[in-house]
Amino acid sequence: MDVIHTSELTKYYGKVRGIENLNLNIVKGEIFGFLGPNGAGKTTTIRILVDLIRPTRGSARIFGLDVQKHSVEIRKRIGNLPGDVSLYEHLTGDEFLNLMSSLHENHSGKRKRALAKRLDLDLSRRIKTYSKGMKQKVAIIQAMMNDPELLILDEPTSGLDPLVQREFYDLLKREQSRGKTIFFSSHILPEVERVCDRVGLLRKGVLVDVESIDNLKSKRVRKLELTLKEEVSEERLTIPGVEISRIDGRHIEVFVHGHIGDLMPKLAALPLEDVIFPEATLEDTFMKFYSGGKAE
Amino acid sequence: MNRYLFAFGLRSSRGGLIAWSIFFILYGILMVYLFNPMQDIADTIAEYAEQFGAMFEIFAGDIGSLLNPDGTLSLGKWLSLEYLSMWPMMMAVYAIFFGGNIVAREADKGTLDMLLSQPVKRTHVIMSRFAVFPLLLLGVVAASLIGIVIGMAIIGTTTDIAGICLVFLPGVLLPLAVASYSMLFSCIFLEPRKVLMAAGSLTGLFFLLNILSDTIDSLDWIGYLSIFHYYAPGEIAADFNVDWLGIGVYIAIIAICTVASIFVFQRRDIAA
Repeated sequence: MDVIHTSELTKYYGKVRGIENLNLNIVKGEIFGFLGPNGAGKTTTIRILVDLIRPTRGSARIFGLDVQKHSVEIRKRIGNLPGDVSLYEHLTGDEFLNLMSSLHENHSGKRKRALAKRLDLDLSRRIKTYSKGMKQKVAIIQAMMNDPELLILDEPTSGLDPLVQREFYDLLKREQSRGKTIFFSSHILPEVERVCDRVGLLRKGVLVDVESIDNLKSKRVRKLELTLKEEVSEERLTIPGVEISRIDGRHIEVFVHGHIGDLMPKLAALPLEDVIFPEATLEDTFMKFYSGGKAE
Repeated sequence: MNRYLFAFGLRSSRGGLIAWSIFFILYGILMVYLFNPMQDIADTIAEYAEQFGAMFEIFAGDIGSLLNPDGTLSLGKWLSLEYLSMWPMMMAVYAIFFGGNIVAREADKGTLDMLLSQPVKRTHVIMSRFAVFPLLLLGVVAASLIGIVIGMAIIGTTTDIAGICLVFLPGVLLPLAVASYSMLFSCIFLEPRKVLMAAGSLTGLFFLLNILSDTIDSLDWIGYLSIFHYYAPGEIAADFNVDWLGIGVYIAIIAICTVASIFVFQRRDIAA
């Protein structure tokens, strides 16, 4: 049985589309990345799953239970990390977590303390004295401390420094090895590639594809900025798998489809002065690939 | 109701409770302390009341009615007009903020997302929060009585405390009614500014209707539309004469608005 199953799930905010006809199946024990740029509908989907908002049409089930009719039963078995983390600032980290934990039937402080230690967070301080990253850590502990069967995480690494991010990825992998299922939204491609087994690509509220990570990597488009010693004719730049995005004198911006290794010998034949692989945005990497595709 | 959320609500409201309690202790002492000077000028007050009539009543209350047949002033009547009549008005302000903030403030700040991600029913969230308010009101009532007793000890005069306690029955229900419709607005709008605007305007309208009813004879009926109309501290303090219709009106408002709040909050989206 799917842990999460949505069928034709649609949400409109008035006339504005949040998501449309979303069909998702997430199986037990997988880490599923929900990838899309800001405004794609990731948070809308998650808010429907945790019953904060109600769908315009379609249905969503978690553990085989309808998310609206059985929301309390479902929330006993899930840990949710909302997108914009807001906490009760007048409480200490420990008090906040105790309050959240007290709303669950079976709560123990042991796991909370272990997670705080692992994420190096001092829970005795008031939340108003915490940095953004520390608040994010509190929210992560809140989602994980009751040992849920399913973790629903909306942009969980927002505000975390790279070291803590790495620790967090390890935590997710460990949870997966314990049989937990993780639904993970992000707009950061490398973290999804690093952590997830499968990825759903969302664009303008529509699920454009669901891929395994290996397939995803083969479909990705990389951006490359070349600076040449001298201007060359466009014919010399015509290389299979390379799409010229912009030429500005000696400066050329290209998109590379497929494996970068095939390209290197051909690039070496050019009078290269500099080569830069800028960090590609999600839109550059995938949305170009999908433009004119299913989402349209 | 969820006892953890109730305890949390109580803890979060303790600042307001302490502030209002201190205010009413001091206000109680002051008003009792002013009794003796006012008694000395009772004749002058009666003259003013007669000369300025209704306008004087709007700003100072029906002071003329406080005088005993022999022209003296009684502490019970003085307190019922200048202290107990103001008490629910001030508590109504507290009620607007308390009831209005029950979910709107949390939705605005985003903390409601985290709370509703836990296995707790929406009904329990608002009921646990709302249930804190009667307790806060009882705390302020206790503080108010302490202020009055201290004041009486200072000036060496006493009055019937039982009558004053009885006044607090509608005195507590009135702000509870205000809090209940403020909570309903809170569930409808989920935006603190809109909620305060709506609840404040409605309460202001009730106050205006009550004044119009008191000052214009032909508009006497309009007072029945105001929640303030059903609160008459003077009659209760003097004769133990409780307006049970008023008590029923307050309870009906509280019940209807509470049920409506649950209905609305259960069904609405909590937007990001």
